[in-house]
Amino acid sequence: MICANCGKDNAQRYTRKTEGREVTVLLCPSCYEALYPKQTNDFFTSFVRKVGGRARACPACGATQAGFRRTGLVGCAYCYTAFREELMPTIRYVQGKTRHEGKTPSEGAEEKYDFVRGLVNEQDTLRERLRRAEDEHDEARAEALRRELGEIDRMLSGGEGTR
Amino acid sequence: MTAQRFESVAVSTRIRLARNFKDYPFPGKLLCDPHAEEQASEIIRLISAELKALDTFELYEMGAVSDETAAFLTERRLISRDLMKHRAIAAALVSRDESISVMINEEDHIRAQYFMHGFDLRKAYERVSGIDDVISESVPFAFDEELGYLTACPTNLGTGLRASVMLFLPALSRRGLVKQLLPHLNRLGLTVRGEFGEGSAAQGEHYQISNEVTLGLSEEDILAVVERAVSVVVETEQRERARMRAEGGAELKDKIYRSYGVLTNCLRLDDAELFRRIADLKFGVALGFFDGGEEDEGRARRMGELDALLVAMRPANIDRLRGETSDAEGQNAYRAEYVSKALRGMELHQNR
Ligand SMILES: [Zn+2]
Ligand SMILES: [Zn+2]
Repeated sequence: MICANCGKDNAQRYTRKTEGREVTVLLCPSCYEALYPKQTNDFFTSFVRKVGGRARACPACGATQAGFRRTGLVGCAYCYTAFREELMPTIRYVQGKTRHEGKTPSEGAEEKYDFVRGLVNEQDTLRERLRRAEDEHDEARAEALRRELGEIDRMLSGGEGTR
Repeated sequence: MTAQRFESVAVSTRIRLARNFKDYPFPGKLLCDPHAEEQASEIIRLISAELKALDTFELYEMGAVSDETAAFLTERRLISRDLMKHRAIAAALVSRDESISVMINEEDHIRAQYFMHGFDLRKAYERVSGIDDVISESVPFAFDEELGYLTACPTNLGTGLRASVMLFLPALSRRGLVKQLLPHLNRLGLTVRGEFGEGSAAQGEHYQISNEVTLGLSEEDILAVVERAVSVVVETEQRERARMRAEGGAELKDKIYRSYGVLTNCLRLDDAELFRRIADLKFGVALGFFDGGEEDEGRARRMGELDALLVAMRPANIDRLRGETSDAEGQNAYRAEYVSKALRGMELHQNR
């Protein structure tokens, strides 16, 4: 069936209520969605939709402007760099100002991050091994693992010991 | 105006900070990732490990939590409804006294909130900022010189700070005056929402006031705006209460005592009626209709007890108390009995 809007040959039959009457329209799915957008009361989403944008994906997470227009959410931190130009009108509208004031993250997190992440993942592996040791009633091994876990706990809480 | 007089209007304070890890996709996107659960589990373990230094937290991994427990936590405002939309990757850390809750992988990787009774935005901010400091020590956050802390939704950029104060406004809402305040508050960049009932403020007469703008204002500025606005609303409510008291209030007293009568004698009680009647009682306590000559402090405590009763009598909380799931009929009967006993125990003497 031919779409009454774009003329492509993939139309479907949609039945709608208009002013109390049932009307049937022949449209392809994308034209249908464009002509009869799902009713949303969300002013913000409607506003975002108006901003437009090119069909481009964020190189870090693959999110697109279309996705942002649909959900009002970006995909990752890098989206703000990738789509900055397109996002700015929205940001200016919802926030008024566009220059951050106030708190900033503490320095040095980068260096500690890998260390802490290593500990946390090690902890996970050890817990799994402890479970197995306990299942097999290997008390000596379990005890050694518990000691190791305690050591990691101490390191994570900055050497103040466990709680 | 004494602090207690303030507390009979500004019931509770809640501050929330939104933060994200720099290198992970935001939760909405993370959900589509084939390694979502692995990455989510690492995020959860990292935050749990960091928070251990602060307090004792209960960890709820939403994928492993029953619907009943999720409803229980939602009713206690420890998690949001949206958290369950990301069930497979989401978690919550709740401190023992329930004052701190950290949602993981809701709309943002981290939503840390501090809740307290009464009105103290500074204290609440200090606490939640402390949580932020601890995590920030070893987790690189998504941050941009210009846009501040980066969040999934542009409405939270900058400080990621949402400061909310719960207001009990029986006098203003009974006189239909809340509507007049709204445009003024909106102009200050604040929003007001009715509580315990989508938009319909009638239930319980509670309103939450919070900042809309998060970018371009420092935390200090945001708190100051909310604080000033709350002070004005509190004054307005107190004046209206005083007017109602001055205008005799026999009808109002009658209505409030009737609610007390119903609550201490009924055999079936649903959620909506409880909210309405408890609001009557709280108003009565605030106006001094109950406690012969008792000081303000006692009144604030009473009102807090009545609030706690409201939370304890939400459906999932009732089921938790009873240790079984029950239908509405069973809950209504239980609620009636429980509330009646609790109120008699409070010895709310009428002050005719
Ligand atoms: Zn078409
Ligand atoms: Zn992205």
